[in-house]
Amino acid sequence: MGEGSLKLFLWLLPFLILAGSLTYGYYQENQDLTLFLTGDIQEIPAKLEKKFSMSMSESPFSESDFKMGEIRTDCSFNVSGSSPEQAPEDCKVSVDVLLKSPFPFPVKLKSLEIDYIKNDLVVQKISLKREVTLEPDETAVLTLEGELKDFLETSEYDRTIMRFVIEFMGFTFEGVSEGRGR
Amino acid sequence: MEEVNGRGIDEQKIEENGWIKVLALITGIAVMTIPFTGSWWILKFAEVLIFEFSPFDMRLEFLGESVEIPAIQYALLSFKILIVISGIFIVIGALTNKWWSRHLLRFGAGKPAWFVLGILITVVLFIPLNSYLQNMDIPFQLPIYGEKTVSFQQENIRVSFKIVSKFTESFIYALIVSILGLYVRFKIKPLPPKKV
Repeated sequence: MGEGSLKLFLWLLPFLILAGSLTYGYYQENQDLTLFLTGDIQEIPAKLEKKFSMSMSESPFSESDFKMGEIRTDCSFNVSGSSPEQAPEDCKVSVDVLLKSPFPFPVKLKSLEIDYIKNDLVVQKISLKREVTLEPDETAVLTLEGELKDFLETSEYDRTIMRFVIEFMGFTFEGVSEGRGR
Repeated sequence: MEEVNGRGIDEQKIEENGWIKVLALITGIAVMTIPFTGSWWILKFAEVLIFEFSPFDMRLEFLGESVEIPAIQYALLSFKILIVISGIFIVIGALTNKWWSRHLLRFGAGKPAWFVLGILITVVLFIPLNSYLQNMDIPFQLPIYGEKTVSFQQENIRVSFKIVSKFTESFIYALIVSILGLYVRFKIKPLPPKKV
């Protein structure tokens, strides 16, 4: 091989490799080497819309999604039948709340605060202790924490205000929603 | 003096310069490893879109679904083969002292720079995309390099997410190897014109 032939070969080599690789791909892909996207992409727009429309809705959580569980205190104090005056100072109460995820996909509940309001005054305030992952069709146990005094004072309220931060697929949604009283 | 292709044999051999051959050998081995070091550029749009790209491989994930473009995948495979061959040519060129050694060395040593330049041009092409997004009233721009937190309010919901665009350590490695390659190529001069 002379110098000229070598130069020509080296010049052609990248194009030969490219042509060879594309030909190989053409037969590997059953003679359908497309420049289009492949994969399960037909469902993507619908999935995206579903996720966003639900997260952006005014109230992704409704009050009926929550079911109050056991109330616990960290002080020796009998919750039932006691009067507010007897509640010790700084006595915390934690409530296990059962929440059936309204989302059809996993969502991280980063924070949740519920204010119970009567006559435009917050009479009870409970908030989520630690973040929880809500799996679809599963009931998560949320541990909410508040002041015992507030719990004892609240037997009825006009409305609730719920502030929540949820996260999924790198998107953070901070929202406020209002609920009915009892 | 014996002649091949109109030039003296000694003239065509690479000068017995030990250190440039050692440098070429190291560069050749480094060139062969480039395609196996991972992505060069990453673009993340929250976790909805993940795009990891190098001239030898591409990963596109949309909402957790892997998306492929077959024609591009096979084109990238050819670039992978080409860069490995380039590395092999540099090593052969560095270890031999034949009339063709210089050609193999010069062929291989320039290739990494092609790919580095190619990826830079590809990334710069994202700049016009930003003005397109602006025209479509999309409230964010793609950073060429860096991290950006985008947030917007819709009624009583505030949405925020991160857009990340970055060159990886693999790109820095490829950049260093391409500079070494260009240096080797510069030192191994092309043959002088044929004597008539």
